[in-house]
Amino acid sequence: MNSEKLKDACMKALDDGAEYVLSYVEGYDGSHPQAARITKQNIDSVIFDEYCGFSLPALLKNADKSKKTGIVVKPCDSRALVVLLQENQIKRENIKIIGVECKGVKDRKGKDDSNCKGCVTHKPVIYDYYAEEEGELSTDRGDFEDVAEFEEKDYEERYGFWEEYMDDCIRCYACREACPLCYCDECIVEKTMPQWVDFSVKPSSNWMYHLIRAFHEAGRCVNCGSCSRACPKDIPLMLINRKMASAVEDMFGFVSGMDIQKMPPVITLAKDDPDDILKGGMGHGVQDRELEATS
Amino acid sequence: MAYRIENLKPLLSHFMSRYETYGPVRERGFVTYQKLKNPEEVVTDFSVSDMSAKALFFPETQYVCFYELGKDPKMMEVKPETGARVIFGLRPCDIKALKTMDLVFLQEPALESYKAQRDRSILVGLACEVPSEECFCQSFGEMDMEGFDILLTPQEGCYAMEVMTEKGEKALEGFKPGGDIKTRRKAMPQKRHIDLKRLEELNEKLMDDSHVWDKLAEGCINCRVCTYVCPTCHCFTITEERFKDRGARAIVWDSCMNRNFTKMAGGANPRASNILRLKQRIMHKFFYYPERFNSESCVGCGRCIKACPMNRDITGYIEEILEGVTV
Amino acid sequence: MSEPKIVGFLCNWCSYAAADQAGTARHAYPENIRIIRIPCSGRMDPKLIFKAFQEGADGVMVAGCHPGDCHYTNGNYYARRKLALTRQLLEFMGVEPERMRFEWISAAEGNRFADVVAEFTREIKELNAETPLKREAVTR
Repeated sequence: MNSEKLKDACMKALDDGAEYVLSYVEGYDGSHPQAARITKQNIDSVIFDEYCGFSLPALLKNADKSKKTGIVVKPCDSRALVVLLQENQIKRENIKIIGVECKGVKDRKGKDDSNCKGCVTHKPVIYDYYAEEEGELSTDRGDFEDVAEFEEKDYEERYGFWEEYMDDCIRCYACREACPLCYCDECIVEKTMPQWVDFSVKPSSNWMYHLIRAFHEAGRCVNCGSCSRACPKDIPLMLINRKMASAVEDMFGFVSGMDIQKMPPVITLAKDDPDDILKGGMGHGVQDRELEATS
Repeated sequence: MAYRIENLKPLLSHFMSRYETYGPVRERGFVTYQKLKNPEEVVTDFSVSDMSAKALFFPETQYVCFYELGKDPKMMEVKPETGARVIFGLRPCDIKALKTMDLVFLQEPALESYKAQRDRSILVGLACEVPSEECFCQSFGEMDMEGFDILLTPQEGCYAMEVMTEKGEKALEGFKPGGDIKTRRKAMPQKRHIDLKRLEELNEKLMDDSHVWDKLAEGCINCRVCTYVCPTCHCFTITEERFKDRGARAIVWDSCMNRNFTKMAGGANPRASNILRLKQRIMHKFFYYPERFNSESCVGCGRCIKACPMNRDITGYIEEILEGVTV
Repeated sequence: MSEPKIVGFLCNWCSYAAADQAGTARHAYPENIRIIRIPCSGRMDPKLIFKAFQEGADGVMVAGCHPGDCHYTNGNYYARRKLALTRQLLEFMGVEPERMRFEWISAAEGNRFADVVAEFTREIKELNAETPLKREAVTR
């Protein structure tokens, strides 16, 4: 794709004061890039292609936040940065953002990642430096077809579907660690005073963990797909997160990470939310609304 | 001398008619060791299972005791499992992993549940035909097949079955195998390799002080998947569960890559940074464990490489260490 | 199902007072409900609903002051959003909508409180599935 443009952008970021740039680099073969800190010494290993599916903002959790860091972000990852900025996890002056256009990535098995079908924007929403993609970028908004398809099942079927996965989950917490927005020092499911969730690996506590995480992501998830990608058991976590994103968009007209001025609905209030949302309605009558295209 | 086995089904049916049998099964694209319901379920077209057989001996969650409160308080210890069972289709790296865990769990006083599972299991091995993309077991020397009770080696459209222990012989009572056949194990060139000899020569103090760990930790997000798929990783935590007037205590898997693994009451956390956690993991596998038990606790199965969402590679790490630390 | 267990989170100023009023007026309602008093519906946390199901509740009810009448001015506006999303999440995961009841009940509506609880209990009794998410000591 556009590795050369990306290298130029990284060089500019380093010249402008970034101590290093978190970027995708060549890995052990052509379809397994890795992440590394780029300085002028190793800038030639910078790469960006359709295998760069994993999200880099997750590395900011371990980074020294007082240092000026550069970071390469795909459009979904740039939305994650917007949310992190809104939540005061990073300081804008300490981060040099290299935005990269993206046509979609491959999943761990080398196929087109189905999560990309729900992509909100193919262009980064926040950046200091920009690396264009070759060719035409679609301006169509991804839809929530997978969510709608799932909701055609009745309640018993839905429960059966998730029961199978909750039986499978081994509570490795890879989904949580891979997510750029799960940054709590001590996650509530690992607290013991009080203890909300049993540590033991069994369906009921797996349910509890996933429900809590899904709710904490509601109105924040940026559709980067890192959670599903990291899961060693291929649990379709993005389906739940996309359902919440779809509900938040339908009810409150809010899409996370697109506008740094707009705060997520769970921490804001509106006096005119229609009451039918308490009973399962979507409020605002926006179910048939065309999802806004991004330009 | 080995016996000729044309087809695995009769052998599996023989085991299943007498014992609880576990074997490699493919579900949603993943190969794991599960209790078998019928012999057709078993797959052999894989190199290394996705989740290791560790859970059959050291489960993700095991209750050690239950208690009841009230007027007549009671405590019931969970009795270890009894009754022989067959575990079919383990690879040589899996048996090496079990022997590695034995060094910890069978040390006196042994972990009873683990010991019971080891004692009651009849291990039927399946030698590898092709290596996986990621495995590098040959870096540790020629594979030692000791520990299997029965070993099957695929060759020329059939299997050569070696009976290695008395336990294995007893399990085969009543089974008629084919005629004698010579076992031929092929050498398998693997894509990856680590220079174990050079690694062993490294000075541990140099390793400790080195900054190569900073570089290795750059691209790691601490997701812990490597420790969960690893066949030898055995860190655990103990947890209590209370259900009104009853309760239970359980051993559950934990991970040294857990951010709060070394957090103590009072808040101190000696391994608070990812760099220190990664260093601990690699040093444990290749230095601390051999120091203590004369054996690496890595078997070269490559599951961690396959499972890592950031595409990290432990063999790459070793190369970096050899380059970065040798003065 | 026989005698379901229902947990009701009632806000101190309106709904709890309504429950009190139902009691004083001797307006009977089924005893399946166990009431937990919270200062405001805005204190309601989805985790509490999940936890109630974990501990064996067959249904969860949350009631607060009518929007515009919250004792703390705007707690119930936050509650409305959180509860709406909680319902969406639980229904997506297969929990029947009849198991959750979110209502605005003012302190003067004691009779309505009793009627709502009676209706809710009836609806839960008609479900014949086991409580979802109930925690037990279980190994694979």
